[in-house]
Amino acid sequence: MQEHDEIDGMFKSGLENFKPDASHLSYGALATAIAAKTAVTTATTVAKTGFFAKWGITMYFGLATVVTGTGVAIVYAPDHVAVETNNKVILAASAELKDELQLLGESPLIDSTILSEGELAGTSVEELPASTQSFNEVKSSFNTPVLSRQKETFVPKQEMIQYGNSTGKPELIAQQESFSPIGLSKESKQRKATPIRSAVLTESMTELPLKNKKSVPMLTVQSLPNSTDSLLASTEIPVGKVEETIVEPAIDSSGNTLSRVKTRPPVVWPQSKFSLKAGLGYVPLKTELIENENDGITDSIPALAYYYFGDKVILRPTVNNEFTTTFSFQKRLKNNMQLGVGATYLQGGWDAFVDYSQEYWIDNGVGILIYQNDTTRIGEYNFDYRSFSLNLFTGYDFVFNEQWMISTSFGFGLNQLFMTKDYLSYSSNDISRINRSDFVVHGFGAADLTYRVNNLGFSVGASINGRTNLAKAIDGQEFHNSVSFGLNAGIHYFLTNKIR
Amino acid sequence: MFTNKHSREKAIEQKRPENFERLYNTHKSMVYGIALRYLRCKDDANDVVQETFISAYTNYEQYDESKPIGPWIKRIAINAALMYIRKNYRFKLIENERELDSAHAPVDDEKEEGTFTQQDLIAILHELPNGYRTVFNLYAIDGLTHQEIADYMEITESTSRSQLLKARKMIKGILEQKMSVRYARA
Repeated sequence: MQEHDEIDGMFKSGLENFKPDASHLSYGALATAIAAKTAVTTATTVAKTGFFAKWGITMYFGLATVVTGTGVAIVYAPDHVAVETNNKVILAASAELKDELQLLGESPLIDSTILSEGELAGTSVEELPASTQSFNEVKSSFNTPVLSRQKETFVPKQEMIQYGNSTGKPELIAQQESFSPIGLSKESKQRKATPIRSAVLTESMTELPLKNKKSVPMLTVQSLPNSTDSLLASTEIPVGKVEETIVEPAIDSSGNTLSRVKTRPPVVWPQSKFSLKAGLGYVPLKTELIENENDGITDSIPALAYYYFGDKVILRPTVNNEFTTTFSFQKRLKNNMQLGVGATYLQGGWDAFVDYSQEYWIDNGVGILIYQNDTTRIGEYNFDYRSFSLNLFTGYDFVFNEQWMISTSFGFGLNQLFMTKDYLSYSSNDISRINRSDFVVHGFGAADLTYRVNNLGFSVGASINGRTNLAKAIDGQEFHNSVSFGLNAGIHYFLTNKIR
Repeated sequence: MFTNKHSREKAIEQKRPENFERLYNTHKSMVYGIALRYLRCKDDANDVVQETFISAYTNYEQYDESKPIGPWIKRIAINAALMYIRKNYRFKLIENERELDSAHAPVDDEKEEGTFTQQDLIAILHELPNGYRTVFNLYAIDGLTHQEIADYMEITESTSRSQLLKARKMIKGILEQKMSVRYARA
């Protein structure tokens, strides 16, 4: 040991402040290299910005503020948003995308009716600055339902042209409404507008200069008649749930004041469900683990020309996987939060070869030490474990529409773990077995893409699991990672179809 | 770490050509010395010096001005040397010294018995395989722990200890060989 310190000390004192002559190194070469490198970086930035800004297709993932609340969004932004990494740009990109992407938790806008200006009397109107009109829309909503009348909106499948009594000109019946004040009989009226052919209407509306945008909250009704293909109202509008209506006044080429009405019915998802999911997991392992090492430098045998030898047992795992199946009950709370309980069965294991390695130094007779390393495979381990757990979890649902949503969940589980560890000795061909059981707590997170067909739904998803002391519990030691990554598929039964 | 606008302005000020040239001229010998310890070839050492100062220039905002700049540049230089070895050297932890027998060239110009010049020590380091030399440099001269070396080189601590042990054994053999040559000459 003292000899080692002397060697170290000699080199440290001699070379720690070693400053050889470096006069041949001029600053000019360095300055040129720095300038070249800076130029390349700048050029790369410019090219990247230009490419993505004009021609590229940009994939953008990140955190964003979503409509009426703060949440996590995964946004796909084709073509028109340059990639940047600061929050302001992310928020700006989100705002810009609002009109063009179907945002999380919202149904698509239904451009349903053309109303005359007079029909907007009595509604709440909020004007926006012209500079924000291009990609902003103002929305408001009520949470307290006040049902005063029922309203049905009818749009004919084909243009219905009749000759009006007042003008004598052909008129297009753009809308037919019937109002039914509660407790009274229905009254019907027809509204008329200057005839515009459908194709022309569509085109002209896109070219109309919008003066402002207005938002009108509209309460949904408690019950509606069964829908037909001519009724735009949803048949599954939930009780007391706000339906959003956006009114955009516009003036056509003839100077008539029209209003463009967009309605966004609320998304309806059942309140609770039973789920059965199964999946495969992958547990990263170290490529090898030194299980036992004798690195003793005192074992020199000079008489035999051995200066040092050590030995170690190395485990080399080869296979690792997990299978899980989970049965759970899940209840959705307000604001798309959820709470669930479940039971999980987990099965996994791996094999590991056992190598015995012996190393030593031998003097070749002229003072040169030669290193030798002999490795022999002496056996193999087979680890197998099973666990049963009870889980409690919560999460948030990102609802796209009434068929699709991404459901996230995270929680923890209490596991009872059973493990067997078999060792096959190559020399004796004997198999020894150790059985153990232990208690393990695990945490997990998952995201599932779910598709619903009436009461049944299907999902695929990814999950990550972390186990507190699994490795120790199953005697896997440190090369068995306590984190696993999984893919799963599930089938879901939704209990009700009425309440969000 | 720069935490305010004033500090960033100082960093920009320091990166001006005339100031950075002064910094370069002050520390280039130290960086060149480090590079020579880790690398066998002077041309490689020259490259590492350049890489070191380019890295210092581009990352100057990360320098904590409350501390002396020498150790910061030294750290960059060691990193640059290790990176250079990874990229350009056949980085292998030698397990059989038979391959190295032919590399044991005698070092002359010893001044007196029992003493070695800096050039002698550098020459001895250059005789070591890359793995031995790197670990020995990091541990014995630059004062890193085996844990830090393991992180640096992406090896296990056990391997680091083993390589250091082997490096010392080899150095000892070289030193004894040189001493015997001197004794024979005397």
